[in-house]
Amino acid sequence: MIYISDLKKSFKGQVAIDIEKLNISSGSNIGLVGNNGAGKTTLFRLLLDLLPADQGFCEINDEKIVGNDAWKTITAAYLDDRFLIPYLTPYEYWEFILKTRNITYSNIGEVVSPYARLLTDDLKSGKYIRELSAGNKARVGIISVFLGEPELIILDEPYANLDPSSQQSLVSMIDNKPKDTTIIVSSHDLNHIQKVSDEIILMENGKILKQLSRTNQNLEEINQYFTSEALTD
Amino acid sequence: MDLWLINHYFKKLRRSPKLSGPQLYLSIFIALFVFGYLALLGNILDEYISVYIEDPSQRVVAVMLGFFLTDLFFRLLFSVQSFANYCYFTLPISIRSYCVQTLALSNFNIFNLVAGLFLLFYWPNTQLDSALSGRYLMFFVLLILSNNYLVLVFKRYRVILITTLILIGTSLLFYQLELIRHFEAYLAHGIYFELGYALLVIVGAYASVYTFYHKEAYEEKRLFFENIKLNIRLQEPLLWQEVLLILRNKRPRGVILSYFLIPIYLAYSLRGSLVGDNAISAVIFFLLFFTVSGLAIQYGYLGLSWESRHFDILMVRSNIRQMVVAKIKLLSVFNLIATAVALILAIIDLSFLPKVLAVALFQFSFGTYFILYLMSYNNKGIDVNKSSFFNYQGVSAVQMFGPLIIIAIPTILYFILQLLIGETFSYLLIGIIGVTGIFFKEKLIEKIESKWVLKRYHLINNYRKS
Repeated sequence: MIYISDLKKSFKGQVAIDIEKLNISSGSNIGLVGNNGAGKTTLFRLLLDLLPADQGFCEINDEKIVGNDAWKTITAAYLDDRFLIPYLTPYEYWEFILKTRNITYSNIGEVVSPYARLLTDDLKSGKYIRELSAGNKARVGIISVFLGEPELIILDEPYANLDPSSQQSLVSMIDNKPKDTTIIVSSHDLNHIQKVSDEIILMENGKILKQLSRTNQNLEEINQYFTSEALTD
Repeated sequence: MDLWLINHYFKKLRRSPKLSGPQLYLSIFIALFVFGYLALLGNILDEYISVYIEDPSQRVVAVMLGFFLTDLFFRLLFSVQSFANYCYFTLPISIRSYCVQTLALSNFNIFNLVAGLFLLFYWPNTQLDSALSGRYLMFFVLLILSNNYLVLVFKRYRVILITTLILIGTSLLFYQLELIRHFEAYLAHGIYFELGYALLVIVGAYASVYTFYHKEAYEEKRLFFENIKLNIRLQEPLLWQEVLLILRNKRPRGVILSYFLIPIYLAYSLRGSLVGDNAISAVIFFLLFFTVSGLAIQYGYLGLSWESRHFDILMVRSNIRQMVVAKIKLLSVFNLIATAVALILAIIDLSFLPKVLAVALFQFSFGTYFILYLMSYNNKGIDVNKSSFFNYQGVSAVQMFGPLIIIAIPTILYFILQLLIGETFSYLLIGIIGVTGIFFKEKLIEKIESKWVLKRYHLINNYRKS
């Protein structure tokens, strides 16, 4: 699904990403963890062609992302509120998302009904997205990435602004995703990452430190890493 | 009678942020600006209409009809959708008192002030004899007041309002003087027709407010154009989101609306060079080209920056070519509207008509693509929902000089051409260049697309920073 080779990106001489090789297979749930500045968001932005790489390349479904728009029809991402359109209502925004992917539907209400647990009254009230709270904005963005069953979903810190119930809803949405959908989620919350991921990628200073499958031993190893980092600080 | 509603209204007005602090200065500036504009309009209107309608009383009737339509149209645009400002049943007043106070309050609005000022400047130029002047003036004032009540009725039945506007508007276009003569004949029935009309409107408004006292639910207050459901839909998502961007955000809205002042101002200030022996061909071209291209330039000079706040999602969900095509369509709609405005300038001189068409052909092709090309240099983010007055966010040298170049190049080209081959052939050539541009549309789109592709990372990065 995703192949990254010799990918490098620096900002003012500071290495932000330095990944020799990364392979993510189709249908997997990937958890991306690392401390602030580890390069998680930069990696996402490179994957979404929002940043030019200094060196190397990313491929989605065997096609390079730069100079090619094919990946846009199968990829959905929510990194922050710049992925929302502030003067639309949530429903208009979701309609926009579906239309950009040429997905036909008769009633947008029915399309988003599977995500009823995330649909607060504010989202239904007809308010514009710019009038919503940070939590509700996150809900709008999260629902949008699941619409139309994209093949690749990228979520950056999706749990950050959510209340505990919504966090649980997101966990079950990821669990119940279609079999072939690949999800990459970054988070500082190890509990959630451990719940939803088949594989966990640990990043540090732009490099991939470890790529581990979800076994108790590996989870213990990751916990150990963050504990030792905290003690070093 | 407990005047709760009226007291509350004035209390709110006194506390309005627009009447205190820095906003007050802005309000004063806008008021002066509107004042100047109305003075200009009031002074030139009769002079221009006299080309078509010689009889001064018919001219006044024509202006009355024009006022009636324009006033209702603006109220339709700028009035909020619902009256349900409060939960009625919680108000400490009776239903009758509520209705009377609502009707009374409907007379306090900015539209009346604007209309009053317009009358102040317009009326001394009407050249009516004094007896007729008094009667017509009374009806004009009555029209202003009755529009306050008409809006109370029409707000709930916008379809009726739109139908009325279209019916009278098209009747005016087709029957022109005939309709004006009919209306004049009604006015000749004397005071009874006028009072009858006013009474009907007041009773209708009272009945409407009374009937909906319980029925109307509280709604979020939104302006008409924020909720507009265009069935033409401009279905493509990229285009539609940009249409909504214009309708729902203060700055693009202000920028677009301010365009409509420019042709009138130019037509007035350049009037000495537009008709008769003193007419200067290049000045006429400048006026027409400025009018036809002005709306697209006015919006396009900040193109892409308008979407800076959500540029990431556009880049991830769509491709550059789709964006270019969507913007071409949007700018073409602007060109169409501006061409219609330019055609009105034919009031000054009918020979402007073919010239407008030639200039429009040029603008629809090359003019539009120049604007799109320059958009890739708009690399500063802007907050679209801040007022456009004295707002220079996102504006640097490129945005200042770009539009000037877009207007200057064709004007200089025309100036040289008309010296060489004369006026008629110059317009013909400008039109032919326009048609050529339409044939080379694909090439031009490719050129713009490759420019935008080159600049995309730079734009994404700068929009995030700003």
